[in-house]
Amino acid sequence: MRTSAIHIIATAIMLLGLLQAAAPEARAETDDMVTVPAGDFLPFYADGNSAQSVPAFRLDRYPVTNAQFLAFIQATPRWRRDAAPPIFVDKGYLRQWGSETQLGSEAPANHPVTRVSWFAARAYCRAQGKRLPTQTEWEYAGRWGNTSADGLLTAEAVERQIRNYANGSRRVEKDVTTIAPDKLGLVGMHELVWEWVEDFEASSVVGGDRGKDGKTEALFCGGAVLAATDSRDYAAFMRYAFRSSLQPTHTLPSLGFRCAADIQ
Amino acid sequence: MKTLILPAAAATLLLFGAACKGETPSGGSHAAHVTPATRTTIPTEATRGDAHAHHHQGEHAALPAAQALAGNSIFHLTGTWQTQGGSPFSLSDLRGKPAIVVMLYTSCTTACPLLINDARRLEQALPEDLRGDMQIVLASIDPQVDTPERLAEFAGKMRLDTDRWTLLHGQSGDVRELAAVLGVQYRRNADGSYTHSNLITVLDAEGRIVHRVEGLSKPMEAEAAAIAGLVGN
Repeated sequence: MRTSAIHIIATAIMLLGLLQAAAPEARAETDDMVTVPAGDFLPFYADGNSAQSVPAFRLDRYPVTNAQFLAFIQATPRWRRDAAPPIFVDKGYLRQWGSETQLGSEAPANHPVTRVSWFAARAYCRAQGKRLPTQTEWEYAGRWGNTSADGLLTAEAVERQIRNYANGSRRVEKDVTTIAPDKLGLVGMHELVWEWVEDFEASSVVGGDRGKDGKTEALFCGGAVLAATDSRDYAAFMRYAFRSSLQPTHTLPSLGFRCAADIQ
Repeated sequence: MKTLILPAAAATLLLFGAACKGETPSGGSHAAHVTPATRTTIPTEATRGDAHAHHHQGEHAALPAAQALAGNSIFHLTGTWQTQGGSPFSLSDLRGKPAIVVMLYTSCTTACPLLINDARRLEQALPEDLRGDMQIVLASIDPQVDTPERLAEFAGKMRLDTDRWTLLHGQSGDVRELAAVLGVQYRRNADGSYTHSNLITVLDAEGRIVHRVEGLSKPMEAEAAAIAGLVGN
């Protein structure tokens, strides 16, 4: 009887220990993505003033880090910087890494990976069973966590975004775990690096009819602020303009990515 | 039907984006990503030696080393497409002969028939020996609507000789990747139409982009002569 009681207590302690040991892993696995709830999204530029319906989806909580991308490279050597063909990456691909298979001092493990092309970012996401977010998904999620009840960006968010973008590449000198999450739980959407989206070139594909009535200019030029849905969201202009300047092989020192996934 | 306008503002954006961040794209332009001019010939990319080709044996293990892909070959894209006949098709199936590649969608009633006509005129302007080798590929940017059956119907309606013209249906991700390497931009509009580049791309037998024709209804004689000089080597 006494022995049984000891056994039960010992087993309970052991199970508790196992649970405690397993908990962080389990939490890490389930917490690596955030569910972005469905909703309507009105792009910052006036496009017929029609809101786009965004179904719920999952988005990586953090931008992909150097350590994560290194693990991908090790599993998929054809994406090493000495192996990826120039049709997929330009000459700057992972140039800041210490070597083909080592991060080095310029690429701390927990910092966002940068100098990756659109093709490389897509390949990474595909290897995880994920995909790149669309531009609309990224913008919707990035705004969701930073708006007040009236649907407008908070003054604090406006200021923070502009300040961060103005800091240029210094933004990347941050550990992803040191950034406070937004209301959705997403980390570093506006504080770390520019991020690839699946349809990054969408803004520069403009129909002839739009060109004729001047809306082409309304997407990009300074005067667009007059027609913008939220004229304070100047950072959005910068993001759309930046994406429009990209080619899919480009690798830039402050351009990274995070992955998305559909909700099954 | 809407056509692509790459506004001067977009060029300004490159400067704008760079200025905002104090950085510029780090690499040189590759053949697939040069902003298309009205007529673009890219001989250097087609003939440049390729230090990367030997690294791709994992992805193309079936190829002997002597036949390794050029680093700037679009045959690095590994998606599986379907022809208008429903057969599986890989872009590397084009290997060995030059090809004219056009991306469009069959519901398009204005620009796309003109694009097809342009491809036909380009082919007809080629020297006879080259014309006999030239493969013509129409890849749909509208995979939801353009099923293989729909593509077959379209080929019949347009009277395309399917011995030489191949119409392709692909997964949306593969479509976007092909468009990216060709430099074709497209966007689906709310009404189901597409805004897209009007671009004809010519590949050599190794899948390298050697020539582009942007815009509609251009004279094709000079284009054909330029292509003959590049692909015929």
